[in-house]
Amino acid sequence: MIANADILIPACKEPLSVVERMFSACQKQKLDGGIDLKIWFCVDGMDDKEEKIVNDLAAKYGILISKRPSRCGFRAGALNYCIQNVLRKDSEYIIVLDIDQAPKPEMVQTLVNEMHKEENVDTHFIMFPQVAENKEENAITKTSDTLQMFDYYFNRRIRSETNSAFVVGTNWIGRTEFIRRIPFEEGSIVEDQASSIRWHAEGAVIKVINDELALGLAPNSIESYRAQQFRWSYGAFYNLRYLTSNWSKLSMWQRVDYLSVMTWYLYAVPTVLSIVIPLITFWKPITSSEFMLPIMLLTANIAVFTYPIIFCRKPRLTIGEVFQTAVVQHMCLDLYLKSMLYNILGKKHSYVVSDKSSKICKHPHRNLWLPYTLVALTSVGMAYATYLNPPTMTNIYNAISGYPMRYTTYIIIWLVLGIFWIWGTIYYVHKSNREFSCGNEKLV
Amino acid sequence: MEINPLSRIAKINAGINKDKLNFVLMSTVLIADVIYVKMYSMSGALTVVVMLWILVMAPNILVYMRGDGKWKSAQSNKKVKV
Repeated sequence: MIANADILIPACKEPLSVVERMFSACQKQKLDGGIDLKIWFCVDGMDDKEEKIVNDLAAKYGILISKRPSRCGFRAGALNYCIQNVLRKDSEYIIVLDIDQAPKPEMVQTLVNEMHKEENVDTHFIMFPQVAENKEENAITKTSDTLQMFDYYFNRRIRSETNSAFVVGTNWIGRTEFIRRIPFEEGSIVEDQASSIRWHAEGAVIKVINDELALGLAPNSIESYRAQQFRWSYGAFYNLRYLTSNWSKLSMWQRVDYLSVMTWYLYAVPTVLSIVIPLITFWKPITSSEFMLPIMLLTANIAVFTYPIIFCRKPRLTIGEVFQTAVVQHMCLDLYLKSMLYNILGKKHSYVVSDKSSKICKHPHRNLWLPYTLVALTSVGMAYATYLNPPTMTNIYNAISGYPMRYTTYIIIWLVLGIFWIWGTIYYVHKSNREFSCGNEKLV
Repeated sequence: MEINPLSRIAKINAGINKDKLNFVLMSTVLIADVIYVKMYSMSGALTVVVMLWILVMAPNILVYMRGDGKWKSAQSNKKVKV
């Protein structure tokens, strides 16, 4: 019996080199004869000149084009239009891929075989990991890839065992009948999470496999990474409305896991406050215990929240790589705060695509305004604390011999810790931009 | 035959369920947060910060609680609890 499978590739204003890379990879699928495959390029915004080039490329590689008449409902709108209006009626499986996720030749066959397995008869979706082909390009691509690995090989895998992992926007196969019946949510810019909430509420079973079946492109510039992180964090808070409206239909673990995805971005608030809070100690004491206790406590909180990734196995990460991942993520603290504020104020955020084409950030400082502000604040605090408690030989000797240190010495320790974190962010972000610039010069 | 202490440590380390270890570490810090807020904090601002850490950490603890200590495994062969 022949299975009808359709690959859907939604795209909006993507570089032509990325489009051709994708088309070429799709054409190389190796099938054993039991699958009838069609590939759909779901165009979502393109000018006439680009459209003509894409049409020529599509004809060259045997790709079909689905172009909706109006641009409603973000990315989900393009997918829904194709599924409801263009796709063949007897389609059994849909495979959704982002334009940068070039499939390996065995992808379609492996996924259809998985869906045909006896244990997957009741499974509606199977996801597979996003792996970045360009992960060694710079600290930003490395961070993005490490976080994806952590997400798929730990977070998503563990959650899928309790059927509470949501289907991300790319790298999955799903049953067409189910998606036709319950289409994508078009109201959210993070439509994958919003749709999954509804799918879970309607009884969907979502699984994950570890086969790396496509090679993606991680965001490689400051702007593209920040655009992606802002979209995700804004969407996560926005999707709280979908969670509350489907709350009663979800299982306990689905509620817990959707909430944890949304509250994760809140970590920006205590992280920033933990770094600046020593400043208030100049006016009043903050603890009735040993002064070291709050320092240790807040450092432990930041560490255990940020560094569980240290236990990543295969490939094992070095301490340096783990630190790099954590501090590059801190580049987006201001965006997490901003997305929270936007949602509270009801301010809309339009869909911004993470540009995968290489672009040097000419003004990296502008994107690092929060780390710079934190460095400035804590530096003033350190200077004032040093003035109050000058590092005289007696003070240093007392500290070495275990004599109780004066209050301001503790403040200095605390502020140094904060600066260490923030300087890490500034260093790695500038380093990425430099490495990136060098890469481009070579190309020229 | 004498066993190298480093290889013995590596062997013990390999046998530890790292997800459960993360769960224990996070839970310990969470309990320490609660005790600190109850007993020692003299500042509303610090109390708020610590409470926020509890808020963002608590759901993550519930993920690690379910961890099997393996980085990858053949997920699709497992029975999913619906």
